[in-house]
Formats: sequence, structure tokens, C-alpha cells
Amino acid sequence: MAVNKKEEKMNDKKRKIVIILFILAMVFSILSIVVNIGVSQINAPASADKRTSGGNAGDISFIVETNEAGGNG
Amino acid sequence: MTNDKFLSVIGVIAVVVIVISLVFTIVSLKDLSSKISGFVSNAEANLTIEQNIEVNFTTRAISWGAGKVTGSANAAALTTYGTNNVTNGNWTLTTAGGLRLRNDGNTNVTLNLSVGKSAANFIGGTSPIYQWNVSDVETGSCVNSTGGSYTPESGFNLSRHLSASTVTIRICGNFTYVSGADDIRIDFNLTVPEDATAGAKGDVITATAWINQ
Repeated sequence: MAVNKKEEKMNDKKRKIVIILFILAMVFSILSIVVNIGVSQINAPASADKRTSGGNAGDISFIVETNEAGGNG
Repeated sequence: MTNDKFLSVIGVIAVVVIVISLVFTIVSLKDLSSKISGFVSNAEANLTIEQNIEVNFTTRAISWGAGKVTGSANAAALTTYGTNNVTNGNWTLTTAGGLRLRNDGNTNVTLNLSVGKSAANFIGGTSPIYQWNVSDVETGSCVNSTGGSYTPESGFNLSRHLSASTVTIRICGNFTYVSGADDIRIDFNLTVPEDATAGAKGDVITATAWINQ
């Protein structure tokens, strides 16, 4: 009889632990789902583009006329 | 005993679910941190202005028009200065004062310069000369890292002409962006030999700005 009572107590304890674990599992699952959905909806760029260089161009020009004295090719 | 086993199985499943949930949450939070560019703490307003590198030629084209070397001379000299810009020739410089380059960004930059052609390819003839000369339009546009005068090996002085380089070279280590001190000029000194071939001559000057990261 005493052994049965002890066993019952143990079972009660186990049941309580399992219930707590079960509740924790539910809570973490819901938390995980909420965080996942939240993060996936943030539409921010992974990292801002950072230009490290730039440039531009100019030009110079002139025209060489034919040299009648025999130069300029 | 059966009840005992059932509880154990449920307990193990619960633990597995907890672990998996935690892993997913951690991965999601890591992903979140990569999407956030800055964190706010202690009720501070956090504003980030991105660096903008932008250099623009405010005078982007120089032309001496058409002309030829004076009959008795061996060569003509063409420059981009305000006076005496054509010697021994009848060219006419349209815009004096060189190419003007301004730092329109919001950060100091290192400025590199190159030309597209060598003297021989651009001008032609016997012993052509193709030189540039970079100088401040606004005082303090090109400074060293402590704000002092910049004296690089390539020279940064109105009185110093250097062979224009087809290889990109650094002409200013610290081209500033501050309004009133962000403008430089690139002058040219060309020697056109009397035997330079007739025709249109042109070259492109490329300015490249960058910052050290």
C-alpha cells in the first residue's frame, strides 16, 4: 500500500513535469512562429549600399590643319 | 507502466519541440540583426548619412579649335591658361582656365587622374609634349590628412607641369568636399610639332575618386 502511494506520488510529479514541459513547448513554439513572421515581414535591405568610388571624365581637343609649307604630314 | 512510458514520450517530445523552437528563434533574431543598420540606446536619435562620393567636371571640355603651326616654327605650344595660351600657331582656345573638377560629395576623397592617350597617340609628330598641371581653384581644396598643404610626389602646383599619364595616378590625397574649398583645375600644356599629322585630335581625361575603407 505504501509502495503504491509512493509510486502514485512519483507519477504525479512526472505528470506535472511533463505538463510544464508541454506548456513550455507550446510557449516557445508560438514565440518562434511570431518572431519568424515578424522578421520575415521586415523589408529592410540587408546592408545599405556604400559607394567607395566615383568618377567622371572631361575631354580636350584641337584640330591640326594642313600646313601648306610642307609640314603636318 | 504504460502510462509511465507515455509520459516519458510526451516529455521527450516537449523537450525536442522546445529546443527546435529556440533554435528557430535564435536564427530569426540573427537574421533580424543583419537587417537593422543601427541600434538605438539610451533614447538617442540615431541618424546615419551615407557617404556620397561624387566628383564632377564643371568645365568638362576644352578646345583650341582649328589651327596650324606657324610656318617658321618647329612646334606650337597650346595651354589652357588665361593668357598666352597659343604660341607659334593660330589656334584659339575657347574656354580658358583648364578643366574644373569639383567634389560634390559629402566626404573627402583621394583623387586619381589618367588620360586616354599618350603624347604620340594624341598629338603625333616628332617629340610631342602632353602635360597636365593640377592646382587649387579654391584654396584648401586639396590638403593632406591634417589639413595642411598637400605636396605629393606627383606635384600639386600651378607652376609644375608633369607628363600626362595613361596609367591612373594619384594627384590628390585629400580632395575636400567643404563648400568654398572643393574645386580644382587641371591645366594642359601641349607641344604640337610642325610635322604632326593634320586632322582632329582629342583625348578623354578620367578622374576617379575613392575613399579608404
